Amino acid sequence: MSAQAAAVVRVPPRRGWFRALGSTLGLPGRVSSAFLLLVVIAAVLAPALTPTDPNTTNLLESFQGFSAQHWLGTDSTGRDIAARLIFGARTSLLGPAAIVVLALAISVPLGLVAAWTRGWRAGLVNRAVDVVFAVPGLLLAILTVAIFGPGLASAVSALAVAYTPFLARVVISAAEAQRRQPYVDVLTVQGVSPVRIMVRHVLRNIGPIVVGQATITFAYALLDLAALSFLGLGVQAPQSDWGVMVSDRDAVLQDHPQQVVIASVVIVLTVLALLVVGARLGGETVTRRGAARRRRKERS
Amino acid sequence: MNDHVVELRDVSLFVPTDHGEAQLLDRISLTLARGESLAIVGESGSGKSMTLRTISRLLPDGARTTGDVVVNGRRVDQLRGSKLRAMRRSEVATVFQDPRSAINPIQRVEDFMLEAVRDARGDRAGARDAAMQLLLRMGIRDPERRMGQYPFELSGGLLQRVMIASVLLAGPDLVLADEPTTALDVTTQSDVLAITDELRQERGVALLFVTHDLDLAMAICDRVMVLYAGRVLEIASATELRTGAQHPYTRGLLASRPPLERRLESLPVIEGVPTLATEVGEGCPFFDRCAVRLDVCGSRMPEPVGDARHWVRCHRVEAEAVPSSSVLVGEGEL
Repeated sequence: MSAQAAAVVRVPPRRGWFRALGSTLGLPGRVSSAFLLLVVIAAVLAPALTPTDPNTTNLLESFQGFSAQHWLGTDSTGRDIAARLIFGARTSLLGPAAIVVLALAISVPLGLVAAWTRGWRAGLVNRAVDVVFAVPGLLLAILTVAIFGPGLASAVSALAVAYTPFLARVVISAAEAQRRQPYVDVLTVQGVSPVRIMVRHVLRNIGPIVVGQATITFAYALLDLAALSFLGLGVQAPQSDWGVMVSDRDAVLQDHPQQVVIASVVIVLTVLALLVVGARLGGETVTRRGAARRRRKERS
Repeated sequence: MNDHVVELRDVSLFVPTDHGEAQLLDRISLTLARGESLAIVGESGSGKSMTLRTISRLLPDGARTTGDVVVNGRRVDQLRGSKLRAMRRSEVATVFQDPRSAINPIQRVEDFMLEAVRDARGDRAGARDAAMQLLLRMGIRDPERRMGQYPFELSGGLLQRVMIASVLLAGPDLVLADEPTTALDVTTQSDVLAITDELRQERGVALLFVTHDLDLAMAICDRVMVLYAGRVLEIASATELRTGAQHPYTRGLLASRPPLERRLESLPVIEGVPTLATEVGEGCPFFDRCAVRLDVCGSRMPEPVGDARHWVRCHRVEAEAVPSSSVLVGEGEL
């Protein structure tokens, strides 16, 4: 019986998640995610990609230009800039990743509880979020570093706290909107427990928005960590890190700008790519022209 | 008393508003035995859905009820937490108006149907088979394929069948149907209702059916309850209501139906707009719009007259009743 009916009704094959993701991202998003993928691969395979050690100094070869041996030249102590850039990707991505994971671990449960309970508990969460909102992330990070000493750990934990409200707000408002959906009522009268409704149904529905916002948070965290490293409060030399590279006081900008410029460009490109991907995943359109184009497409 | 699946005893509902508490239901009483069906009819805002929600306990934040809501001999208005969830899982099930919004859009049909019985039975394969059997019974030809589909791939009629099948899957004693066919077209509507009715009689499930379609109510339910502004004005068996409605409001509703056999220049209407439950004073809620009102109607809510089978709240009916008999049958003079 079912075979017969299936033969009559032709159902278009369900599109795979990969293609669905591609159409969500659009062309800018696909280019951006390809770039990010390259950065991640470079970070993971760093030792295999670089023939030279990023921390080996050779004063005889300092401030060299582009060459076959040193693709991007060398810095003031003769270290290979390309190697330091590739190894730098590790700390530069790991830091923000830790920040985002920590911030999500705090904000998602908090946001879901606030959205479900409403009443005074939601008020409490919302006011706490407001208070943390008021404190600039960098300031909090500098304060933490002043108390616990410089390093990646204190910078990461401070920024994780500072970024929690951004994610919590998004989780609360998206979950509240879902909570008002009739399907939540249906699940309730089916006797499904609130925890299960929130985790299995609401969280899965707001997933894309949360991932989008987390990606954007990742970009800002990367920027903030680079700034902290630039100030000498984050990653400590000689460990390679993009922020540290920008701040290298010996890289005399006037005479030998390549290290600073290259590291800055990589930071900017990475942040930009993250913002584009995040906005696409979160359902926003990055540019006005893009929005207009998308509207036209929907109409036709 | 104990053979009643559900019993409401003087249930009133209050919800908080900006200016104090508003009363949405005023002393609703009803009983329903196994396999019996009762329709609740009324206009928008008359409290039909809220009456159902006092049973499933799906009430607005801060809402308060008085009176007893009894399901299978237990006060459900006092249940909380896991006991309330257990009651919802196995005893009382609800069919909602719009299946499109009532099913989580990112959930496949199979997951939706099995979610409801997740805790009731540990046996997933068995539950899956039972779900497919029910879908077949609901007239869905290829349940295997449907189970793997997402809600957007199914039509509204199919989705509502899925919804009803999922409700019956849990084996409830009482089904609350909140305008289950309003979102469907008329042919699908009668299909769905016919199958539902069949399954109901087969399984001895009690049905509370909310609708604003009086004809539909009289066609598929044993008894009909007329609700107006949160108050019950009349309860009668479907057959008795068709021929012997007593309340001026019920009669007005019956008269406003377009007849099939002849053309009318204009349909009779009940003048005025529906009264809100919150606007009702001391008297009868229908007072403003009633063509046969008495002086007493504006100042005092009439008490029920009649017997348990057919009763009505109306001073006019009370005044014209033969004192020796409390049972009123047939067309009264208006």
